Amino acid sequence: MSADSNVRIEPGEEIVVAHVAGEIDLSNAGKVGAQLAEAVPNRALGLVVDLAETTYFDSSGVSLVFELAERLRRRQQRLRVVVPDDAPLLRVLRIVDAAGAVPVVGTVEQAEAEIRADA
Amino acid sequence: METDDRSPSLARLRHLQTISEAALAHLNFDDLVRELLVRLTAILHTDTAAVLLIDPETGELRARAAKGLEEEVEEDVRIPIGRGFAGRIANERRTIVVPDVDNFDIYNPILRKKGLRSLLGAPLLVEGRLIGVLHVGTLQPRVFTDDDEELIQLAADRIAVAIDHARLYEAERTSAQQLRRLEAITEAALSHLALDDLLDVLLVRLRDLISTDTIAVLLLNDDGQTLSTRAALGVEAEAIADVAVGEGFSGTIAATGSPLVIEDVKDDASLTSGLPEIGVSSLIGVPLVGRGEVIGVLTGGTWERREFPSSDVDLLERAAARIAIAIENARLYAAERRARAAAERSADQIRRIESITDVAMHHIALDDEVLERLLARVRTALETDTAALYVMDDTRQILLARAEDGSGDLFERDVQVPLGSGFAGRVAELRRSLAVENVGAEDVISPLLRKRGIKSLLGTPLVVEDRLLGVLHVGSVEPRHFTDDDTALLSLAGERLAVALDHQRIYEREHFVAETLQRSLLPETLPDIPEVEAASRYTPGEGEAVGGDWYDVIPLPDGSFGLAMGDVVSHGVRAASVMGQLRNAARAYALEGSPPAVVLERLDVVVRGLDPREMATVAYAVVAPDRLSLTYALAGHPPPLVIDPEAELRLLEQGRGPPLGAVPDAVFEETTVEIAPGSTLLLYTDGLVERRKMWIAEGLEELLVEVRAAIDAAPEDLLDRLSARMLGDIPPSDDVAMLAVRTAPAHGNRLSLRIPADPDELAVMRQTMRRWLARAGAGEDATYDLLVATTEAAANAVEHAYGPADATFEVEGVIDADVVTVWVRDQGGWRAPRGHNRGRGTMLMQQLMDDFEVKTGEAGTEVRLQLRLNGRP
Repeated sequence: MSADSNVRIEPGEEIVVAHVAGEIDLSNAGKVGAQLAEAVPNRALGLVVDLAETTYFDSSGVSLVFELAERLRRRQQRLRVVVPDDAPLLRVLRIVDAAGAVPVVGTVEQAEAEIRADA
Repeated sequence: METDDRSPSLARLRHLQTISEAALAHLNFDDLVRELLVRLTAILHTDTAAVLLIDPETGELRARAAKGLEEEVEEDVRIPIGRGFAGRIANERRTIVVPDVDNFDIYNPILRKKGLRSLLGAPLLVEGRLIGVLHVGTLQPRVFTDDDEELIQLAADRIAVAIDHARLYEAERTSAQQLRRLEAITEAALSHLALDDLLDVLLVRLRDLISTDTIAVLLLNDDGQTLSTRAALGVEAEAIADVAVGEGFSGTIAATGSPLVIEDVKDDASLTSGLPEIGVSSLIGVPLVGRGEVIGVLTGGTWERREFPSSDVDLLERAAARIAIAIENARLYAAERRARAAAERSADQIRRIESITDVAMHHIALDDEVLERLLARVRTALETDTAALYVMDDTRQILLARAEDGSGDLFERDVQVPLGSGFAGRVAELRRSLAVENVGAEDVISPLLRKRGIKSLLGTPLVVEDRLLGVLHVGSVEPRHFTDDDTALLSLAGERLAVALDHQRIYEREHFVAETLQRSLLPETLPDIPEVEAASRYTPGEGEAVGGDWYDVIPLPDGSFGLAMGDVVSHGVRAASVMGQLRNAARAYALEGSPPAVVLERLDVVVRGLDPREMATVAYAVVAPDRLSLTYALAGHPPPLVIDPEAELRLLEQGRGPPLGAVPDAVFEETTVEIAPGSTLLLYTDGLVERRKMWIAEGLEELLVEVRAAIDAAPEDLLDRLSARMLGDIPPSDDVAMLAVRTAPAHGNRLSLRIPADPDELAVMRQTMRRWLARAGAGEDATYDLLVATTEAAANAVEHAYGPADATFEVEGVIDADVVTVWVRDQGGWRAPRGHNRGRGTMLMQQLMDDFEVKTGEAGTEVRLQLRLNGRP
């Protein structure tokens, strides 16, 4: 039984929002990463990865996000990760991303606003 | 018919014979009497015939059957003895002729109403005892001749005996013993009448028929070699010597089966030696042929020389044919009576024997009590003081006293009697029944018999298919002559006892093999599983052969463990071997890691492949590594029970499927339920809840009641209690298996997992850890951090530790006060973090934990993670 995750894509003209629910670990990080990458059309401004309902997230998830960020950066697209302020996985992200390479915000609205502002 | 014209007597004779035949052919009383009356009116050419019988209650004559006078019966006419026509016959016990009814004091108005003119009646006597009256009547005035009188008396005699016999036959149902006594009386009368008296009557008519001076009937003796004179007229039967078949006049007829006429005995001396002395000059003889065999010879002789025309030979042959039938009938009848008497005797014996075999056969296991009861019945049947059973020991040289009745405490079991010595030893050696009327000191080897003062002994060997199993003997304190019947009875009892003993021996052997097999197939001890207490019980069923109950506890590689319980439907050695196959198969599938439904599906395939067909019920459950959930599936098996001291009892009734082998393409479903720490899981076979006449629902209810009363009991104590309360001292009818497993109580603070090195297992591991940490009261953040750190360590083990598919790693956890320590061990070498990913994993472990350490040695790598719970929310 691999980690149980569910990716829900909200397609948009400019911004695609992906809600990732459940767990992400070694067993499913690759699959989830591919789903997210495919969800972003070339002309989109950027992607919001909403981890508000992600119950487990470790270095595999971090790698997923980093790789996704790299891919979008090459395509001139923006990435925002949404993590509620009190979520434990924020700690994980902070530890491994001391440099702040992945922009983390608290809500989807804020993420979308940042992407538009940035574009 | 030609003979009728020539000789009315012969026609009558034939009729008379038909009465005898009717008497023999019909044993049902009503049929018989009706038939007799029809024939009687035919013989005597009368219009009516009636039988009145004495009513034992009132002593009156009561119309029982009638022909042409049916009103008599319908109106239940009763006539006092001495009154009227029938009453006078009864009173005077003689035939009475009433030529004209008008001149006679008729009591019964029906006779007049019917318009009868003349009457003839005779008493019905059996051995001088009056049982009723037979009478005939005519509508036209008629003069009854002496001949008529003689004939009705003869007919009455036959009818009387036949009626008496038929009555007895009827009465047989009420008392077999009475029947035997009365039959013994009538036997002589009837056989006498039926043959000798019949012959006397016949001879008179024969003599008149062919006008000879002498008539003799010689019958072939049982030896088939000689003829003896059975009846003779005109010459003393004793004067005619026995003659060998093939010799002399009669012997030649018997040998050739052809008629023979000698007109002058002096001309044919070779055939007639001795006959001139009797005084006969001419002889005529014909064979008596019954059912195709010569059974005797009928001869006639004249003092004066005369010729016998072929018409005489004809006539005599015809008469002989009828006489032969009468003789055959009489003999058959006698034989039948003898056979019936014998059958009655043996029926009685069988009843007595059955009272013995009842006991023997209904108890496959012949324990002491059953044997004693059996011997008590033997003793009663034979009216003896003692009855004893000796059995051969395994060496087949010594008899061992096995059971006794009639000596009380004097009896000592297992007293040895060598073959050939003592009474029992001699019976055993001779292998036949033996009676000793006066026991000498040397006969009684058993001090018991000496002390008991036994004087007479009767013994019989117990033999089955030429194998001597033992000796049965009875003893009498008073000197006693044992009759042939006694011997026959004891030997019948012995035969049955021997068969019962043999059955028991076979049964015991089979039972022993099956039980040994089964025991060897059940786990001798349950495996030691950390944090789990387990206990099991197996109770063999009574009487029936060993059942196919089995159970198993199977530790699985991931730290979970399987619990299996099954019940093979058949019994005996086969069931035990099927059980063995199932147990092994279940073990194999379980160790493969197949989930419960899959294990059952595969076992179903195994069972359906068996020939002959077999069925089995199985419950299989896997308790998760954290002991906090279990997944189960059932194949027709009674629901396992989850006993949580803090909650209601739960019967695991989901996940039900058909018994294994019951239907093609069976589908099994598994269900997962959470179980609280310290829960006990009870598996059992239906023998526990489906005992004797108890419905399974009732049994289940009783089980729940008993379990509630022992809700905190440890597995061993729980099973002891269930055994004692639900099974008691009496062996259950079916075998019963129970398996109880208790998980560690909530204060248990250790975690021990063995996990396949597979990324897919990480989520399972975290699920287990979550429950473990929740029990320890860890908060959300601390739990999250520990899960991440442990998963990072585990992922490292999975990714880098090794390649083989069956590799595993261990996770061990301890919570000491508020410090959680987790060790993740594998057998591979630690690889320095490569690239960003692994580096991040290590970083996470370091940062999230209070303490993090990696030890790498020959055996493998150990990562230690430690976190103080109080430090986190």
